[in-house]
Amino acid sequence: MITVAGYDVDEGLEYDPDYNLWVERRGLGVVRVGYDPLGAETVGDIVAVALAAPGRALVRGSALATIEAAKFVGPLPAPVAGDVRAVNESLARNPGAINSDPFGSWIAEIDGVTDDAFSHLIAGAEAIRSWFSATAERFRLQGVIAE
Amino acid sequence: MSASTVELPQTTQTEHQSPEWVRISYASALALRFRSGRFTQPFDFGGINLLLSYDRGCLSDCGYCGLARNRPGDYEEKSFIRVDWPLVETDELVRRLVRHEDKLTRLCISMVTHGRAYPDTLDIAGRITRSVATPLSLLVAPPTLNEARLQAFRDAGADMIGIGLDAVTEDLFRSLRSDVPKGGLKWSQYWRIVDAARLIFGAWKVNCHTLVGLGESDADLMGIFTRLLEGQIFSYLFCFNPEPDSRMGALPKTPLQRWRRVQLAKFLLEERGIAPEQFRYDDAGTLVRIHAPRGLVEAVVADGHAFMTNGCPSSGGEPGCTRPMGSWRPTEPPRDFPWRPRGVELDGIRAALDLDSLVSPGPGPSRPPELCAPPAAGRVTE
Repeated sequence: MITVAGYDVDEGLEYDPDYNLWVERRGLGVVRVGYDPLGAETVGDIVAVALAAPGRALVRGSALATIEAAKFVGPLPAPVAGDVRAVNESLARNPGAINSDPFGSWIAEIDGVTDDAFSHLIAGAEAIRSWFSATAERFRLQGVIAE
Repeated sequence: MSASTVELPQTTQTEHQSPEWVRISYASALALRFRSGRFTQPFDFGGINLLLSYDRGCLSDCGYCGLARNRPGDYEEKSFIRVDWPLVETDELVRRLVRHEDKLTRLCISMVTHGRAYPDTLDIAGRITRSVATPLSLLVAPPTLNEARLQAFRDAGADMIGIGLDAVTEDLFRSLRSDVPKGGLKWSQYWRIVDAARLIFGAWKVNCHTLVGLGESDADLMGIFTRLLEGQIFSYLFCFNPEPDSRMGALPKTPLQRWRRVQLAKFLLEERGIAPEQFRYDDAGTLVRIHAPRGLVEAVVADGHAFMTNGCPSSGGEPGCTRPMGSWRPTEPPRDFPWRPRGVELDGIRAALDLDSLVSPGPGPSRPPELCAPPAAGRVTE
């Protein structure tokens, strides 16, 4: 882990800068995804998660899940194209785990991911540090992070 | 007129109780950056709601309320209006009100029925009004008040008083708030405080909360709206939203069509001068027909204001207290819109109203404009 803007960030993962999701490569064409700490924090206290059915085909940006927080509801977009391989059913019982432990709360696994699907992701400690720091500042200016 | 208070037990002051600590609505916590998060649809929000907080909680036991003393669970863990109300230090809250004053529109302190509620509300109101110019409402607990105490609230800088009638008939009030395990609230006492507040604060400076879905009929609701309109007192409309684990937690939420029709009828009565006899009901008191010019009704629907949150205004007469998602979950269509509904939102409202089955030709306004309610949620500048 590296500490950036007060957050612990796993430098071994890749990140979707548009959706604030982490992506973990887990073998040939298979990834596991979840919210990064900023993504989890800025939706607010998550109270429900409706997950896509395994087998569903996704393009990047299509809904992998629907997230309901205290004052927010919206889709969780897929960071890469592929097929839903598995979903974390425990989140239905404990959706708040995403807020309290975003790296420990994987949301879905996607398979059939092609190599070119990773090109937009941010990887490597320095790139992650730079991007995450700027994003935290942007969220602070937007007023969606507690003071 | 005299309004007596009910003597309530005092409690020992401990660390996290009012007046040094208060609860604030989740939306207020977002606006003041106590909590991280956002709204589904970004909009300007500056209506900050505070709630007194005590270890023993509210001493009332209303069947529908999340704070009811007999609702299971510790008071610290109880939700109110279905969501968590974060506990914050009062002085830190005031500092943040100062820091964010430019975007604040209306402040409100909600009392609970408790022996310390009056002095603590007065204390907190003073801390606020000495620090910011944002208008301050008080949602009062009648058992704790009398005329002198209401006057003291006004002297402390509060400009509007709210009374949570919630139940709109005496029988319903008795069954939900008086004749309950730890109840005892009195309909007559609530009305004494309504009348006293009206005298002290003036016309259109008092409001009564009325809840749709507790078992009343539409005719009951329109009756109370008319009574309050005659007294130049605002009716603020709320939609019953069952609080889990409360005694009424398993009851259904008010159907959307009924809710929309009540919103429309209330607006036509209060702000468009349609006479009470032009609203027709079946034997159960359900609104079945509005006799009014169709063009007028269509204009009201297209305008959208009838479906906005009823709440105290900002100093400029614009929407002040908008309670986003106070009576609907983020996954549901808004019941009362914190913003002016447009586009697909108006399409949904029209579909729910089904005006073809509701409106028949009839006369236009009969109430002179000066006797209608002023805009409750800021239509002054439109």
